[in-house]
Parts: sequence; structure tokens; C-alpha cells
Amino acid sequence: MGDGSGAIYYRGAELPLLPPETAAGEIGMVFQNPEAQIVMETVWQELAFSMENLGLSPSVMRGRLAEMAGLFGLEPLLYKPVHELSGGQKQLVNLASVLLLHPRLLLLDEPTSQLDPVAAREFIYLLRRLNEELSMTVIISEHRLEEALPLADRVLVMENGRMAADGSPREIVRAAGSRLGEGHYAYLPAASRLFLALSASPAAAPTDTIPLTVREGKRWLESAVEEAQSASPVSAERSIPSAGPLEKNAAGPARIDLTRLGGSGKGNTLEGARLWENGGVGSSFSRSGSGAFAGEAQSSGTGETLLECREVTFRYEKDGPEILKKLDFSLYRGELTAILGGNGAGKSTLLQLMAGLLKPQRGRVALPKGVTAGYLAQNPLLYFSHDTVSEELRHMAKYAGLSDSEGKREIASLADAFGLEGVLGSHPHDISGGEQQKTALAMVLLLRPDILLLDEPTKGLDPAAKEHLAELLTALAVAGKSVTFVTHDVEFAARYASRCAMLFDGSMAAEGTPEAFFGANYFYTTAVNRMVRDRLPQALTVEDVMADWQRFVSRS
Amino acid sequence: MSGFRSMHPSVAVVYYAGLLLFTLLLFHPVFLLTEIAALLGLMLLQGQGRRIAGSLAFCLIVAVPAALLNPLFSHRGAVILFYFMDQPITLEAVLYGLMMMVVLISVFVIFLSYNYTVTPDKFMYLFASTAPKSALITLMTLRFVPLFQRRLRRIALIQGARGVSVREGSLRSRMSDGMTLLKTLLTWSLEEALQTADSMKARGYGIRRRTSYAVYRLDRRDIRVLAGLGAGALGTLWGWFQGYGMLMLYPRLKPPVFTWQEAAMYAAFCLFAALPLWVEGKEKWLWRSSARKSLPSAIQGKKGLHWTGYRSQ
Amino acid sequence: MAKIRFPVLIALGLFIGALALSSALKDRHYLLLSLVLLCAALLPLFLRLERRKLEPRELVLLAVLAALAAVSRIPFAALPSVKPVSAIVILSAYVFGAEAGFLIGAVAALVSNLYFGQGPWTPWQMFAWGMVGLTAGWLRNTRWMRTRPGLLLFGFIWGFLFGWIMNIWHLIGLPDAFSWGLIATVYAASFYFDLAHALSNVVFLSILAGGWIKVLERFRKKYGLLR
Repeated sequence: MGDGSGAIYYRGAELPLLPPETAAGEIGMVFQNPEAQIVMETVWQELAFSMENLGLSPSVMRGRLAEMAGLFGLEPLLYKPVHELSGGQKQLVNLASVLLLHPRLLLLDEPTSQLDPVAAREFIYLLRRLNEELSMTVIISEHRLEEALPLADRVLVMENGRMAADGSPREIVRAAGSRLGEGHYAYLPAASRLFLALSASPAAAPTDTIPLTVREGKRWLESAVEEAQSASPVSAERSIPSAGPLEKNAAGPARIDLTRLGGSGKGNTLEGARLWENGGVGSSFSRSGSGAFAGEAQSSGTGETLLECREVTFRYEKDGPEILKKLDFSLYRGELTAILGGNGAGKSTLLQLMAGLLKPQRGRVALPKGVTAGYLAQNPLLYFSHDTVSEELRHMAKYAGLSDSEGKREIASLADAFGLEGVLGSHPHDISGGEQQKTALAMVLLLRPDILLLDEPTKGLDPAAKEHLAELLTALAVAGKSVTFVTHDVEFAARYASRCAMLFDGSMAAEGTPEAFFGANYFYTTAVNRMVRDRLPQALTVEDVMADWQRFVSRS
Repeated sequence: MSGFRSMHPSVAVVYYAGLLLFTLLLFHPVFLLTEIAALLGLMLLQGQGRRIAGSLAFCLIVAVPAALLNPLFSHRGAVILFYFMDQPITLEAVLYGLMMMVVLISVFVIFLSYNYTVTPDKFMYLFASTAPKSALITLMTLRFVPLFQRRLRRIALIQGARGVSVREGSLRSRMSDGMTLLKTLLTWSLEEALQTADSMKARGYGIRRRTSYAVYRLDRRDIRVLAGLGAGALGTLWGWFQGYGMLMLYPRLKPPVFTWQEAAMYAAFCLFAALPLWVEGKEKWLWRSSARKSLPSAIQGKKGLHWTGYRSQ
Repeated sequence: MAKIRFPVLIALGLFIGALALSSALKDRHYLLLSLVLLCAALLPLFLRLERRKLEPRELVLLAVLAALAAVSRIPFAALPSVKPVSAIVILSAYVFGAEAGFLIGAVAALVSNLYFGQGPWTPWQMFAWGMVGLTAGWLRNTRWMRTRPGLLLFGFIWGFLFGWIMNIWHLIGLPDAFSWGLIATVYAASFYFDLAHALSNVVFLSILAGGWIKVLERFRKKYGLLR
């Protein structure tokens, strides 16, 4: 179970010495997984559970429940069984159940990592209300900071079990520009990243001008543009070289990684690229970056069609609603396609149909002869039924029809490319979430599919893991596979996909290169795009803006 | 939820427990048939006709053999009807077998109606304060069942892609594949259950004796109905102690004679058995008449509790 | 309210018990008596659970295994007597002991009947599956049960015992005809069902045993549960 030393104090008392009732009543905790925390069968039972544990009297319980149900708008859900709730609603019930004990301190362990962006934003704003209206102390651990960071009073950065930084959000942003280094850059909100990338001297900027939100970012951009224009044209031009030292940071994760991760990272990806390279498409890996993708997206229009959905119509039950309605969609070789869409739009259903796991009632999913599709579900735990990672892979290789030696070779190269050598002997449930996902991906790849379909591959991953995943997917696409993923992660899609499609009301509402796709959107686009769209409607990432900074300044 | 189902769970449990008790104590066709009629009437008023029809076959499969087996193996009684394989078949034994069949059918109907009226959360609610730990384990199991079903479906979908399927192959391989799916579910669910346990601990489980939250309140109507049920039960029990309500079959069939005491006991039993029917019927009638008066369009279809919909999936 | 509920329940139980006894003596009507005796047999073990201090993790573990057993019954609902429940209960008891085995069996029966419909058979099934777990837990350290054939034989025997316990319910309904002939008829009628149950136990156990025991043992060691 591990051991430790040192002491934690709560209101002057050492934590282990705290009476259990105080500990449970005054310190509330919400965990990461919304489903696993729920104990009871219906919502009211779940809400009452914590109060019953502390032995509150029925009248007190009734009063508190009424108040909390009102605050959270839970009345309509009160008598529902928990399995009918969405992930966001479940997490809301978890929070409410904890708050019913009237805690003074609320601890949250990545509470939004399993939620879709809309539910996550609502959850974070609820926390802000609690903090502002009840002045409750809220401690939240997060790596998705776009919404959380602007609300925080104080930010602590942990690194390798140590406290790497401690300060207000703006101080942290400034520190990320210099002292802390680029490792933390990727965690920052888009406005802050843009600021760090474009500002001539972020370390010297007054703290309160450092932007955290889109609004502040846009304001800062306007002032920066004005400044650049009022200065002589020469100095405006010079403002780019002056940003030089930061360009390395600003070039975005995909490029950072190659320089930063150094030996091991680079080796892995190159290895990966070689592994799947099976012919002409193999462009060099250094071309990754959205510019390169845009170029490829144009050429892929003429690329070989690997899969075609023709007027696919699907429903789960005979009398159920139609999830997909006469959907037409195609996948091409060498492409990295992102499918976006709201909750319950049928994105996962579409993937499962394309993977052949479900059959459409009408229409056809057509694949050329010999083309196969592999599907990676959201939850890698669904794949594991053996006692070690290597056993999982071996069984899969056997099923794929590989000979023993062939299988071994294939497994070794996959394990090498995915950085799984160290965990081959471990139980699949004992390794980290990222490793589980990579193991499951390796299992799917052992079947050598031409089309790879991934369901929400970035859910719960931190920026570094996302970068690594992007490298793997890009390498696969470069090697001539068609990679398609479903995601809520707009930033990820904008940065890495070569084509984006929007699923709405059962069919594809929009489709195009990320620039065209997101440029046309008003709200459903990257934070950077929302900041700069007046001047640069096509710019989606910090790098895009950097590349066009010149034009940006001169146009206004 | 309306009518009898909307009443406090203890009313329903007293009613069904009492009926079960009388079914097993009283041995008289009139009483048993009254009871079956009252229960079927209640279920029909609640709109559960299809449920009755659906379980009829199973009920008969269980009950009819009793009627057939008894005369074959019991040869007591004075009136011999005929000989079957050199064994005398007596009138008394035939009647006794029929009586046992009626007993089984009434037990069956009691549970049929019970399953509709006393939903698991009501049942748990009653047990939560007397046996909190057993109730908690049962409740948690109850929550896990639909969760695991959904997980199993997803696992089967995914594992199908690696050749693990219960749909194809030999029986042996199908069974072993089915068990692979269960094992995946087991490992995954056990790991996740630990998080459930941690969340229970963080919310103070086990610190002190738990109280229980009361969603149901014993109101005046509940108390009145309880009193009525109590009176009916006492009257019936009094009659039983006096030896009424028993059909004498052995040593020989006695033609039933209705005395005024027996009639009083029957009245008490009717009060007990038909009270929910009255509650349900009154509410139905009120709705209908008020709808006719004020809101002609408000005669709507049935609307069940979430639980029924969820069970029928 | 909660304070008086317990004595009231005990008084009620005693009252019904007395009624049952007198009805059995007076009219040879054993259905009620059998129900009362069954509840009396289940009660002490549930009482022990109430008295025991259980960690949340142990509680959840029991619930997960009971739920798994209940869920495993659903895909096989169409086939009479073929239920992996017995096998799962035996294996759980094998790793976590008699008491856990009893609870998992009894709760699985209760909860699965909430889906299939409660009936007079519920307490009988709770009893039978509870006993499957209890005996498996008691015998788990004998040399006989430690061998694979021993375990399979245990499952086979319980396939029949389970059916025989359930048969009692039918027999009690006919106290008047109670004779060796009737017993023979009833047990002969159920023979093929019992055989199917016994054989399916053997098959399920032989498939499950290695893997499940490993998974459960790993889990027990990892978190130090139910020692």
C-alpha cells in the first residue's frame, strides 16, 4: 500500500488524528470517474447516502435535500435510476451528495476529465458559484485548464512529486514563459499561449495584462497590434525575431516534442513511421504540423477510397429513434479524419457501423475487397481478458493468424514503438490509463487493419500523452492507413486532423479541411480562432497565428 | 403512481404478508377464491391485465400437477370414485388436490400483485433500518445488475472483433467464450468497485449507525387503511382460532354449513382482502368523474413508475 | 420508530411461528411452517453480517460478486437449470470463505428474482444458493476440494442437492399424499433438470476455475480483503 512520512494539518489538527466525523463531514471529495463513485440505485438514495452515514435526522436530511436539489436543478431526476443519467448528471449528483454534508473544504480529482466539454464547462462554473457564493475552499486537480485556470486564485504546479511552482494564474503563465520551461506550456489556456508566443518580452509584461480567457486574449491582441502599428514599421518587423527564443515553445506540441523529447521520443516515432510505411505515401515525419496536413488534405481528395457509407440508416430498437439518417461519408487512404458532434449525435454508433460491429438497417457500408477496419473503443478495459499485457498481445497475434515468430517480431516492434516494453509483464489493470490505451491500440493494430477507427482517443489524456498519441496516429496515416477518430476535443482535431466532419441529426452537416471547417464556425471552433477570427479567420492554432503575424499587424 | 401503489410501503407489505398468511392458514375454497378475485380485480384496475395473462401458463404448470398428484398418492377418504392402476381414487383426495392447486394459485397471484405494487426500492426502504448492512449489500447489488448488463453487452461487442463470441462456434467454445467475457467483466468491475468503496469511505460510511432517509410518510389515509386491515385480520384470526374457515375433507367430506359466526369471519376477511381494491377503485372513479366534469380531454393513458419500464427491458 | 421496529418484528415473527406450528399440528398444513423454518435458517447468518464490522471495500466486493452471479443468470434464462450462478458462488466462497459465499449466494438469488419476479420460491433459492456458498467455504481447505476433480465433483453434487432442496417445496404442498411413492415420483421427474444443472456446474467450473480463482486471489492479495 506504500508508505510516507510528514504530516498534513487540517485547521491545526493533524489529519490522521482528526475525528472521522469531522474528516468525512468537513472535507468533501469528488473523484474522477462519475460512474464508479455512485453507490446507490436511484438518485434520491444516492443523495441521502452520505447524510445517512453521518446519522442526520430525517427532518434535517429532508431540508438539506430540498435545498440542494433546488440549487442543482435535480428535482426532475430525483426518482430516476442512476444508470439513466448522463455522465455530466452523474458527476453533478456526486458533487451534490458531498455538498449535502456542508463541507468546508472540497477536493476534486480531475472531476471533468470524463465529461464532454459542455458538461465540463457547466461543472466548472458550478464550482465557481460555490466558491463565490459560499466562499468554500475548493481544491481541484486538473490538466484541462482552459476553463479552470481563469477561475483559480492560486495555482500549484506539481512535477515528479515536487511542487514546481506556486502563484496566481497569471504568475504561473509568466513563469511558464521563462523559468518553468516549455513542459508546462501545453497546459495553459489558448489565450495565455498566444500571449507567450507573440509577446516581445512576456517576462517583463505587467501581471494584470497577461490574458487567461478568450476575452482577455482578444483585448491583449488589439493592444499589441496598436502598439506594433504606432511603432515604426521596422520595429514592427523586428517584433518577430524578438519573439525568437520563444518560437521553440510556440511551435506547438507536435514540433516541440521532436526537439524536446530528444533521443527516446524521436527514436520511437521514427521507428513507428518505419514500421507502418508500406509504400509511396511515406512522407517524412518532420512534416507534421497543421500546414503540412493542409497540403496533404488537398491531395487526399484524389486518394484511394477505403470505405464508403451510402445512405446508411440505423436505429437500435425497432421503435427507437433513427440515430443515423441516410448518411453519406467516405474515408480515404493516408487521411486523418476527425468526426465532431454533440452528445448523443451518434458518433460512436457511426464508428461501430464503419467497423462492422453493427449492421445498418438500410444503406451500405462498402469496403473494397481485402480492406479491413479496426476499432478502438473509448474504454481500453473492454479489451483485456488475460493476466499480462504480453499475453493479451500474444492471443491477439494468434487470432490475427500470425505465426509464432512473426507474432513475436510484430509484438516487439509495436511494444517498442508504443513504449510498452516496461509493462509487458504487468497485469493490464495495473498499468496507467495511457498505457492501457496504447496496449489496446497495439492489439487492434496486430490485426493489421487498413482503416483505424478510434472513439474519443484523447479523453482523460494530459497534453503530453495527447502529443504522443497524435504522433502515433500521424505515423499511421503517413504509412497509408486511413485513421478516423471521433472527438469532442476541438483543439486536437484542429491541430492534427487533415479533414474534419460534423455529425448532426443523423448525417454529416459539414465537412472540410480544419481551416475551412472551423473558419466557418462561430462558436464551435478553437479558442485561438475565436480570438483572431476578425483578422485571420483561417488561423486555428498558435502556430498559424505566428506564421501570419505579419499580415495580421499590417492588415489593421 | 396512484391508488394503492402510492400508499406507504408498510401498508402494502402488511396486506401481502397478511394475505399470504391467510392463504396458508385457511383451507376453504370460498375464502381462497374471494382472495384471488380481489387480487385480480386490483390488478385489472391497475391496468395489469396483460401481466396476468402473461404469467398464467407458468402458474398452471406449477399448480396443476398438485391436483393430479394428490389423488394418485393419497387414498384416504370414504367415497371411492374409481380405480386407477389398482389404486382407489377417492373423492376427498381429488378435492384435496384441487384445494392445494387453488392454494398454489393464490400464492402465485399474491406474488404477481406484490411484484407490481412493492417495487424493490420500497422493499429496501422497509429493511434499511432493521437490517442496514444486508439492505445496503442488496441495494448495491441491485445497482450493479443493470450496470453489469450494459457492460457485458459492450464487452461482447468489442471482444467479438477478436474472435470471442457466444454466437458462433461449437457449444464448448461458445461457453468458454462466454466465460471469457464474464472474466473481463469481473476484473474490470472489481477494479472499479474499489473506487466505489473509496467514495463510500470519503462520504463517511461506517462512522456511526446509519439513519435512513424517509421518502415515504405515513399519512392519515395510510393509518386508516392500516386500521381497516388490522380489524379485518383480527376478525379472520379469531374465526380461525374458533375453527372456522376450514373445509373438512377427512375422514370424510362434510358439506359446508354457513353459521353466522362463519359469516362474520368471512365479512372480516372480505374487508381485509378487498380494502386495496376499494382504495384503487375510489381513486379511479374520482379521476374519471372529475375529468368528465372539468377537463374532458384529461383522460390519459397509464403512466407507470420508472421501475416497471426498466424491468420490462 | 427504528428502535421499536426491531422488537415488533421479533414479536411478529414469533406469532407467525406459533401460528405455523399450530396449523401444522392441527391440520397437517406445512407450507407456512416450512417458510418460517426457512427464514429462521437464513436469519442467523444475516444477523452475523449485521453485527460484523465490514470495510466498505469488502461490502462492495460482496455486492459485485452477487451482482455478477445474478447477471450471469440472465443470458441463460431460456435454458432451464443451466445457470452459472452456482459455479460463481462456489468460486467466490472458495477464495473468500464460507460467510461471504453464503451472502453472495443468498443475495444473488434475491436480486435476480427482483428481475425474474419474486415468488414463494425466493426464500428456497436464497437458502439453496446460500448453502452452496457456505459449504464450499467450509470445505475449501480440505485436500479434496483443493484438487480440480474434487472441485468439479463438489459442483456436480450440488447440482443435485440444489434440485432436491427445491423439490421439498413441491412435496410440502401435498402433506396428505406424502409417501415414498410421491417422493420417488417428484425426484424422478426432476432428475433430468438436476442432471442438467449438475453437468452445467461441472462445465462452468472447469472453464471458470483457473482464471477466476487467479483473478479473485490477485484482488484479495492486492487489497487485503476478507481475511
